[in-house]
Amino acid sequence: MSEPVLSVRGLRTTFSTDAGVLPAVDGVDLELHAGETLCVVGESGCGKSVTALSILRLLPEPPASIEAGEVIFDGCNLLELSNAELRKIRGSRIAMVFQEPMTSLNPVFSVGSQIDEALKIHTDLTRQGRRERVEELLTLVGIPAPAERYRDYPHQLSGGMRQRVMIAMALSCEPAVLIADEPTTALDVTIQAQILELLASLQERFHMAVLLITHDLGVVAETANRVAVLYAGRVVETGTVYEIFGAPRHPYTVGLMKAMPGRSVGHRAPLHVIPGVVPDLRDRPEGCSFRERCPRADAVCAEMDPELEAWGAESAVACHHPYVDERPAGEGG
Amino acid sequence: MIRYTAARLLQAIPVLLVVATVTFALLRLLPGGPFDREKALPPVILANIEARYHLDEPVARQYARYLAGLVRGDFGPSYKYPGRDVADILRDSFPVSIQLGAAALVLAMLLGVGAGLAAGMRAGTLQDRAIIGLTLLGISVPSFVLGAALVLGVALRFGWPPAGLWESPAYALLPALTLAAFPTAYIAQLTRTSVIEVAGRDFVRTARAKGVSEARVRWVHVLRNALLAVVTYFGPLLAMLLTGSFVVEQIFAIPGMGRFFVTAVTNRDYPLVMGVTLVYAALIVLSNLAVDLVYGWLDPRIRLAGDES
Ligand SMILES: Nc1ncnc2c1ncn2[C@@H]1O[C@H](COP(=O)(O)OP(=O)(O)OP(=O)(O)O)[C@@H](O)[C@H]1O
Ligand code: SF4
Ligand SMILES: [Mg+2]
Repeated sequence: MSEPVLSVRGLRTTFSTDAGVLPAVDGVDLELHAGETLCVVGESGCGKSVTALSILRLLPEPPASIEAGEVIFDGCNLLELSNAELRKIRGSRIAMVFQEPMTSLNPVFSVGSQIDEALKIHTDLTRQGRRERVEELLTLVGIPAPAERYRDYPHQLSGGMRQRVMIAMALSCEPAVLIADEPTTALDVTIQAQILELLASLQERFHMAVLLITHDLGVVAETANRVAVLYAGRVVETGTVYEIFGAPRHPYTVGLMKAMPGRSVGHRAPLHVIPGVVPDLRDRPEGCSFRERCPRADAVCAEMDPELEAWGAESAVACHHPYVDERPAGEGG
Repeated sequence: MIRYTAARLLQAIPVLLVVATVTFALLRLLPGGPFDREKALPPVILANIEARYHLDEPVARQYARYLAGLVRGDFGPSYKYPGRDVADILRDSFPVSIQLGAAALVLAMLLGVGAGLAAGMRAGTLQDRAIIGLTLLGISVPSFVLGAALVLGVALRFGWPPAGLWESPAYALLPALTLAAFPTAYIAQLTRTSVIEVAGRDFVRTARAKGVSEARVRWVHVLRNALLAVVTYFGPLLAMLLTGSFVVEQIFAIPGMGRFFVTAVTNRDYPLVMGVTLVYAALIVLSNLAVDLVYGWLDPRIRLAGDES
């Protein structure tokens, strides 16, 4: 496999709260390859958004603090760049789309000018050139009559249209990596499917790598090449979409799959149906953090925290007793 | 915009009519009359005076007569200052009050917004804490204390700026400062809170994710949204500056309108009370219109009715 365009290693991001230090992300490893879609899944609060925001250092510090790890993009560690150097990458090489289209745009500026702002920062285009480019982008994301929509303010557009604007903004400088944090969760089911389709077609067109965060296993099944499963601030399993759905190894992943009712987009899989609750991250118990909920847990699990270990070329799992019986022969390691 | 403004100005007429009617009624309900003295006037003289001012007529007649006068721009005679029309008195005193009020308004807006931004944009720093301390002071010190302190500590000690009377712009300095202290502090707190709140909104994160510089995030994306809350306060602020100017005008012996606001009521000088009240009401109506216009310009979500663009 090719060199990853973006790799996250040992990322640890904490929040200082009144009740102590909360390690929301505690040793996350991810690799994103050119042109692929990596879906990050996991229960609410497992650290998906914090991981995504840490990559571009978009969390307010304090209370957040990125304590360890590296984010390698284009040969440099984003976590060590100066703010000015990082700003050159934000929005131009790595762009982001957020969950809340209703609040993610500035209410007092026209949508056109907000897309224009990114071009103004990252390109040498003239005013006229930028104007044309913005209209082109609006057309590209499926917004009709772009010249008129340019002057519209966010409140004049529907949620789906605003998310298209966000996507146009993110794509304006043709980034190598697009991070989309639950881009469709706030939208109607039919609009969700349209937006996902749009993202897929644009990904192909721009040869982007997409890091897609989602709750929805239906979305994963439709869009992912590879999947990373997060639990309590850690990656517990990664693999191709076929492995994750066809032969999940980590008991948590297995639980997620069992809990999934259907696999088409829009069938929201409620991820809370695995019995038990996530342990308090402020006071992480010894051993595996899933063991209270795990049917395979034993004495070893209570003592030793499992490391994420490579399993074959493309997958990895962090578990002392992974499901291996179901694996086809010759792939284990 | 022009249509909207014209419509709002037309709407002001019934508002002022209601103000005039209510004030008129309340004045007549107050016990005592304009010519009651410690030593009662001889009935013949009293009857004479009342006849001169038409006070012997039925109240409804007096009301109609007053309104008819208003339409002609005639506010009637003052009972307390014989020989002077209310219109004369207003013409002399209103510009003074308006200058004082405007000076205080500009001062409060500039200093208040400036201090609020300086604090809010650097929340948690020493600078922020120092400004919070000052605003607490500005809010809790009453204007007669501050006014007296400025007179004693500045005007008398250094001989400048002058404290008392109203002869050149320098005379406005200390009274305007005194009048502006509370609203400055209040606006500073409002601006600070608003900046901090806006800085945590999602679109600020979007701007950062786009590569926008920290300075531009603050001074473009945050600022404009944060100012919305401050502009809404402009209307009540103006009302406060006008009514609050009474104390300040007393301290600095300023020949403004504020003193009439109180003395005219105790004197039952009906036409003067009516005149002062109507001028204040008109000012408040105008300032609310100004607020709405500025708001509509700052916030595209507010579409002014009748504004087609
Ligand atoms: N600003 C913050 N201050 C304190 N704790 C925070 C903050 N932001 C996030 N957290 C905590 O970090 C943990 C991970 O949050 P995160 O937003 O990454 O979850 P998520 O996986 O994206 O969940 P969801 O699916 O609900 O979006 C949560 O326990 C959350 O309470
Ligand atoms: S390490 Fe043990 S407790 Fe943790 S998931 Fe694996 S089997 Fe379950
Ligand atoms: Mg999230």
